[in-house]
Amino acid sequence: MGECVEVTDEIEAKTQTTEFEEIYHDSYAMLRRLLFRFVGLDDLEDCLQEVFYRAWKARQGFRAESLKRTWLYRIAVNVGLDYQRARAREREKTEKYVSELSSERLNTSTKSDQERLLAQALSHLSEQHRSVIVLHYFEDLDLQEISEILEISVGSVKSRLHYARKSLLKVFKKLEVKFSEL
Amino acid sequence: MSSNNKDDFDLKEHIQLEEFLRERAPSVPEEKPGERKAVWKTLQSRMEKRSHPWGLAASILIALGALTIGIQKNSESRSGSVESFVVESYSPWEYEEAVFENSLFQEDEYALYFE
Repeated sequence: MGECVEVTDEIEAKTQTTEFEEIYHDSYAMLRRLLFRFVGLDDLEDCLQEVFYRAWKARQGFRAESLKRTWLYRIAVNVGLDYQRARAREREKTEKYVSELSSERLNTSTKSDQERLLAQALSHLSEQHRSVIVLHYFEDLDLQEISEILEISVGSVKSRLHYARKSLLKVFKKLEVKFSEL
Repeated sequence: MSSNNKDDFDLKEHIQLEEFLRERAPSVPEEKPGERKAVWKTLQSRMEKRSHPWGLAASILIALGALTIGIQKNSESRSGSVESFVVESYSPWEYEEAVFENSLFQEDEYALYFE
């Protein structure tokens, strides 16, 4: 009897793993793209692993409600922000943060330079502002989906986007960047 | 009011910024060969550890062990202090006097606490 229960458990565990492996392969590219825009290349694999691990632990919750994509995006945003916080603490320790912004004059002639400039500017935004910019402009998600991912109202998403743009403009001004010249 | 203030809100700037953000979304590098498989492998071992009843029990035991060691270390680090010397060396009825004699409290504080 005990052996029978063990075998059933094992089969169930394997079925769950197979199902989860499908989710993993289906959503790997999507989450990789999102997380790269939050954490860059260095922490990407660790972050991906953490997102799927958290998803695995919370898989019962996933079955109950919301779209799979929204649910995974939500976990990924949280993991991305956790890693950014950890990096920010390290950065504060080395005190590179302020000097980077004030002294670096970036060459903005090529697309990759401009992407780098944007990534740098984004790193100076708050977590809330950075999240909405990434989800709306980079991931091209609509306001409704962003509101579900961040668990805030659509009105709050609009307001955060507005203030995020304002903050970003301030950062660009400090970096002496003019969009007309880009 | 804010829309009249050029420093506060500039529609043209916001539109230019939106275009810039859409066009310059950081391009994502391609997956490295074997990357997905490697991440899955590590993930799978974490999942297996968690699913296995012994794995869960081991995690709980490790957490309890860490907690016990932490409490023990905290207690050891306090054991050399004046306060612990006072507490450990005197019976409860002598404690009040001992605290005062060891000058843990100023005279006025003694009055505040014990009188």
